[in-house]
Amino acid sequence: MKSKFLVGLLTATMVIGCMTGCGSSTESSTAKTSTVAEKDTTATTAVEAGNESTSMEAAADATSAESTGSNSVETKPYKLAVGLPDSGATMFSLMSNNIKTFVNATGGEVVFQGGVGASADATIQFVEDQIAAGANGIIISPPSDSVIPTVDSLCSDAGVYWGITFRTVKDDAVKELLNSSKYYIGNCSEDEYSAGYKVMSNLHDKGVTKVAIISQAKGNTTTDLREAGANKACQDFGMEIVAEARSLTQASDATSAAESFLTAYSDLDAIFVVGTTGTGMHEAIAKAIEDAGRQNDVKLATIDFPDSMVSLFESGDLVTCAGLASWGYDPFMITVTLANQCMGCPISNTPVSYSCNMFDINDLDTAKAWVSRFGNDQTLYYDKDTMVKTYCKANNSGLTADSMQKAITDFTENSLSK
Amino acid sequence: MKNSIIKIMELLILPVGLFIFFSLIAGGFGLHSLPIILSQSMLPVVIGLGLCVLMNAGLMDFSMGARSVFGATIGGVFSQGYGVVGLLLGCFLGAMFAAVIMAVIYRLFRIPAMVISIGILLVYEVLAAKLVGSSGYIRIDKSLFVIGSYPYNVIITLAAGVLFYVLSYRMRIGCYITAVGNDEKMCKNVGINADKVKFVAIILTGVFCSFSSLLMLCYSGSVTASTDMGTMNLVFKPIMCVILARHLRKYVDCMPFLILIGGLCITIIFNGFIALGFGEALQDIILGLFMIGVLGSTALSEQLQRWKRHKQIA
Repeated sequence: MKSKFLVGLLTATMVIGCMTGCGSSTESSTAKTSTVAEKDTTATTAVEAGNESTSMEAAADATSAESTGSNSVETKPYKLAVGLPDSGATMFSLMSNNIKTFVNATGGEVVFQGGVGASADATIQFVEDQIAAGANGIIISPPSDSVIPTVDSLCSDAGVYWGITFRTVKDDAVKELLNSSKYYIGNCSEDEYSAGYKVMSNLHDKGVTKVAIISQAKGNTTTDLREAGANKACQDFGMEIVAEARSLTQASDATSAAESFLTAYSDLDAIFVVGTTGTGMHEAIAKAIEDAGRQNDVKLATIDFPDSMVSLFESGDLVTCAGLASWGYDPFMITVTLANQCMGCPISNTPVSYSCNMFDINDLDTAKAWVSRFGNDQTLYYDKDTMVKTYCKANNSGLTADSMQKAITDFTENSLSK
Repeated sequence: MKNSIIKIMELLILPVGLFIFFSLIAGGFGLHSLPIILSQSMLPVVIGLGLCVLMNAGLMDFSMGARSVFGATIGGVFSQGYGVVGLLLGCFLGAMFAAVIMAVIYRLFRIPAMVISIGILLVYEVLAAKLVGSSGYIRIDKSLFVIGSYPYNVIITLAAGVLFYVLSYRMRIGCYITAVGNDEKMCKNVGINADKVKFVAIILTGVFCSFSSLLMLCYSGSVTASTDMGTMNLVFKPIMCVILARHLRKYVDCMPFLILIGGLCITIIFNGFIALGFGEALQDIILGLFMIGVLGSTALSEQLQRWKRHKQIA
């Protein structure tokens, strides 16, 4: 009798749970539908041509119509999701602080999540989760072009704007898809190929011929481009990449890899950290070089500026590194573009494509200057007032894709003079 | 005794054979590689010893890496205030704390160990990340590096191996763990509390985690608090070592020695391929084929003998 009662109770609980679950999915799909409907309504009432489809162009027209003769327009609250970690290294915290400052000051909220670019599944999961959580805009750094059509499809169905950071799109079919997408706002990327080439060129200037690399798994767009640049430099300068290690996550893995390189190649000249997600890698590699007694023969080079850059330059282990003026500036600028879109004041009617130029650091003084500017995660790229007045289209009608690109170039060229 | 020595010599043919093979075909591989091979084998062997305790009890665990990182993080934090004593104490306390929590959860909720291990992995990764702060890693003083360097890491691993041997072959709990792993129902029938034995097995892994925390931290001078299941990579090599060891157990029943054989083989293969300049993808393919080859060799030799007998009869 007791067991029958228990079975009945459990069954009833299950049924109620199912009904609740169905109810919430209906509500969320209703919410998505009403969000899309809201956007449709806004577009329809604003555009005299009677265009019923929700599009970036319609939103742009609507904004222009509303903001004529006005410097300050009421913008919509919005929610963004950025597929990058907001802690774990100073550069992550710096990026997230800047994005949060801008988004909060313009009436929005933002969430961050790391590990999104680790795989296609992780990226799609992130996009689905954030759409379900009510995000109006999503920024991702896709591991490869293959995931982009799915992301665009999910976002288009849900009426969510989205953009890409740290990546360019290589596949022509995907490029075509994105150009016709109504919800893709654009990308921001670095010239990874040139960065890889530049670092190898700098190493060549220091007499390096044999290099071992530490990188990410093949298929990662960023490191693939950097390696392509490095390989081109090898051809041009007669250098050779003799060994590789990929996808290292722990400092001990980096020490092991470096030890193996040093043992196998007595004539190794440099270890080039092309890309890694782990922190503390550079110090671990420097330790292996020191333990092998080869500090004078084997140098360290890297892309992106590690937290310990100054101490590594001081000890003479690190000889050259290339990177963005600040790693977080790329996602910051594309998030600003996305935020403006979500606020109803798009910067551009067509997808933007910003390019961030890299610069290299080859000496201790420049490294110290860089750290004093960007070594503190509380540093703001622009003060809050400037962010709101200059980078919010509602307050600055002259904000365009071209002016954003100019700002990026100016920031890189003058970053250490600020 | 004589038979055991012969069996041990036969087993040593595997790593020695691999070493000679790579020495002949790879220019940068030779006797000078030995210290590095020994040194790099120690961490997977120690983690493998801990995994073996659980696998003997019929359980699977993916959290040894995360628990080792957590222990290493606590050790790193303590070392900043209390030097080498803090380092040792921190590694031990951190690893044991993680093991006790996992054991208690397993005992209370009776969820499969693999499921708990994944949950524990996620929690301790985040805890370690929070402890190290925004930098994402913690470093120790240079004076402490020596503990994880060759040959001290070999000595520490030897100590862990002796401990494992005593626990598994000379103490009652070791026999109970093996018995529960072989036939839990029978153990319950003869009055062995299988749940309690598994509880103790999980706690014992904490001891080996403290060894691996110490080695991990001192070997590179720092530990990275990776998240998003990044620490799971740390257990794959040890799992391969243990699987190889369990396969070779029919030759001689001494798991610490067999896990060392497995660790040496895998490390020799990785270093050999780096010396050959092979890419990472090819390294993984060849390693996978090696594992299949070794594990399949028994079945293959049995089939060969059967075919020979058939031929003789025919």
